[in-house]
Formats: sequence, C-alpha cells, structure tokens
Amino acid sequence: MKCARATRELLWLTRFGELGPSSQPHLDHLAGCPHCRDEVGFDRAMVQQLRIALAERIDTAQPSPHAWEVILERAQMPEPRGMDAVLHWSGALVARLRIATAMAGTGLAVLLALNMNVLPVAVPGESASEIEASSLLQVPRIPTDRTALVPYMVQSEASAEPARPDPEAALTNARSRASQRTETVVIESPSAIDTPFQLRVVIRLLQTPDPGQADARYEASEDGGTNSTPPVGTVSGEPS
Amino acid sequence: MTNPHDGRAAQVPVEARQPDDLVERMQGGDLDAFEEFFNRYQRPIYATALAITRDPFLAEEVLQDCFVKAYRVRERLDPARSPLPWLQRVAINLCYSRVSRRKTLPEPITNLITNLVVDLSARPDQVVESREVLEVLQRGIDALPPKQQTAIILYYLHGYSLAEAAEIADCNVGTMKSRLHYALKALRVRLPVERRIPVGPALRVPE
Repeated sequence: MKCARATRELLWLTRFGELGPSSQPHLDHLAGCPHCRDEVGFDRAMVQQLRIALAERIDTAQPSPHAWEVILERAQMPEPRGMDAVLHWSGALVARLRIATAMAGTGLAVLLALNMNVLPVAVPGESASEIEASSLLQVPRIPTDRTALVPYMVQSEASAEPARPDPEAALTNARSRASQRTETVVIESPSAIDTPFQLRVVIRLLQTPDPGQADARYEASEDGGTNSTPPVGTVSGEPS
Repeated sequence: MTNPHDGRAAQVPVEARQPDDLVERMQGGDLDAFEEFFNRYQRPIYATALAITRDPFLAEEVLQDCFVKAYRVRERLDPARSPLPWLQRVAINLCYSRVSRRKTLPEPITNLITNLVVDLSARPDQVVESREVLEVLQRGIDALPPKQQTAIILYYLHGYSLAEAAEIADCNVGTMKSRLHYALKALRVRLPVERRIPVGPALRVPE
C-alpha cells in the first residue's frame, strides 16, 4: 500500500471512528511507516486543539438573565405580516432608491461640467486671471490658435535645403530633424498645446526612436551651423 | 486507535434531545411550558450562536429571535420529535444572515480574557506556541465556508453524532463526513504555514 493512499484512508477512518476488521492492511502499514504515524498523530493532535479552540469560543458565556423576559414580551406581540411587511420593505426600497438617484445625478452633473469646460481647468501657459475670467463667463473655450506651428513652418521652408537624391543622407537628416523638432515644440511654444490636433503632434514628436543618436545629430548640426533651424515644416501638422 | 467520539466535551445534555409533552403543552398556549422549553434549549442554541458569531450581544439577539420564532410557529412543531435540530437550524441560519450583513467579525472578548489569564506557570515558549496554534485555528475556523464551519461546530463542539449533525444541517451523513473532512483539511494546510510567520517584532532575528 502506498503512503499517500494509506494516509488519506487512515485519516478518514480515524476521524470518523470507522476502523474495523477491514482496516487491518492500513494498521499493518501504519505499524511499519513512521511517516504515516506522524501524519495520523498530527491529525489527532490538531483535532484536540480544535476542540479547545471551539470550547474557547463559548467559554462560560451565558445569555443575559433578562433574555427570557424580552423573548416573552416579543412572542406575545402581534406578528407583522402580509401587507405590513410589504409596506415596510417597499418604504425602505424607496428611500434607498432616492439616495441612489441623488448620487447618480450629482455625479452626472459633475461629469457634464468637466466635459463642457465649465469648471476651470489649468492649461500650460494660461494665467490665473484668464482661468478666472473664463470660469466666470462659463463659455466653452474654443481653440483659436490652430496655426501655432505656422511660424516654424515658414521659417523651415525659408531655410530648407533643396532635396538631395542620396537616401542615406536623407535618413540622417530625418533623424536629426526628429530630435530638433521635439525640443523646439516643447520649449519654445508650450502654449501651443491647445487643441487635440496639436497635442497629438507633440506626443508623436516626443516618441522619437533612438534619442541618443538623434541628440548626437542635433549637436553635430549645431556645430556645423548649416542645419540649426528646426525643419518642422517638412512633416509638421500631420496627425498620424 | 481511539474513536474521536470518545472524550468529546458534550456541552449539550443528552436528555435535552428526548421529546416529551412539552411541545404539546406549548401548543396549547401554556406559557410555563414555553419557559421550560426555553430553559431546556437555550444553552445549546446560545452556544451555537456564540461559536459562529463570536459576539455575545449578537448571539443573544439570535437566541431571542430563534425562540420568538419557535413560539410563533409552535403549531407546526412535531410533538413526536425533538425540536432541538429545528432550533439549531434556525439559529444557524439567523447567525449567517447576520454575520454576512455585518461582513467583519470583531475581536472576541473571550480571546482577550484568555490572553490575560493564560497559565503563567508553564514555560513561556510553550505558552506562546500553544496560544499561537489556537489563534491560527480560530482564524482558520472563521475562514471556513459556512457549511464546513457549521459541521465542525455541530460535530466537535456540541458532540452530535454524524447522523444528528446531518439532520440539523439538512444533508445526508456522507455529505456531513465530506464537509468535516474538507474542513479539517483546510485547517491542516493552514496550520504549518501560519506557524512559521513571526508573531511580532520580538521574534525577529536581529541583523
């Protein structure tokens, strides 16, 4: 008989006092197996501790001496039944529904207010007085500065070199532009982040691959002095 | 090999399970019979409620509700059978409906008292170890599913036989055995793991 099976069956038999003549193979195994003896012994010790733990729970506690009086009084009172019980439960349900509706309404109002820009929301570059004015007017803020990147576009177009057919040079140039574009937009025009359109552009530019290489290119171009103007115009304003 | 029934602390007097004309007299509106009925069965019902809820006040509420219900449905009680299994079943249901409503169990007052009056004549390490094992078991009992918890309370605390416990729990004997087996298995798994956890800062090894 294998130990796992013997232990499992022995535990079952000893827990419920079902050892009998048919249990002789188990007892034989138990006599020669210290592991199984430990397991069964541990189980018996645990059951003893369990009895103590359960007895601790009730200890010497007794119901209060007034318990009988209370029970007698309650037992002789008329039992709430039928319509009374229905009215009681429906009243409680209506009260809970009222609270739930009020909470849901408040939450919806706050969400709508935030969504319509009625509540003041801090925007980079916007002064406190502007926030206060806009909140007093309670007019949804309409983005008007959609052409914030235009000066860079114009500048880049003015200084852009004519396109060269060499693909390797074009790739190097594109990497350099990517790093320069990122720094230019974030540092020089933070207030331009005003519309979802421009916000997408900035996020895209910040995710430039291989930043180390891009920085190196940027420094090199500054030293050379030939390509220091950020050529944003070549890819700017095109959301991906 | 000893039978686990042997040496079991029988908190419930056996004669309390024998039916007599008490229920019949109570059905006739005899309040003295109802008082006798209460005095006879209050202790096991209160013990069950206290063992499940671990709160004396809650246990007393359950006791009151249980006997008020018994009086209101006295016409439906069978005079030929002991009302104790039915009372236990009602008490268990009342306990679990209240415990689930409250969600958390309080630190039992009896445990605090036991910690204070622990036997100081024993060796301190033995006291700590024994106390720790009992604490682990108490937490383990609390963590058991209600049906397994009920099974060990009926079988190991009250000393009911498997058949009596099965009748109270409204299941067959095999199911009751299975519940007990899985309850002990859960406690057994829990025990060695928790014993390895340091109880407090005093037991930590200094670096």
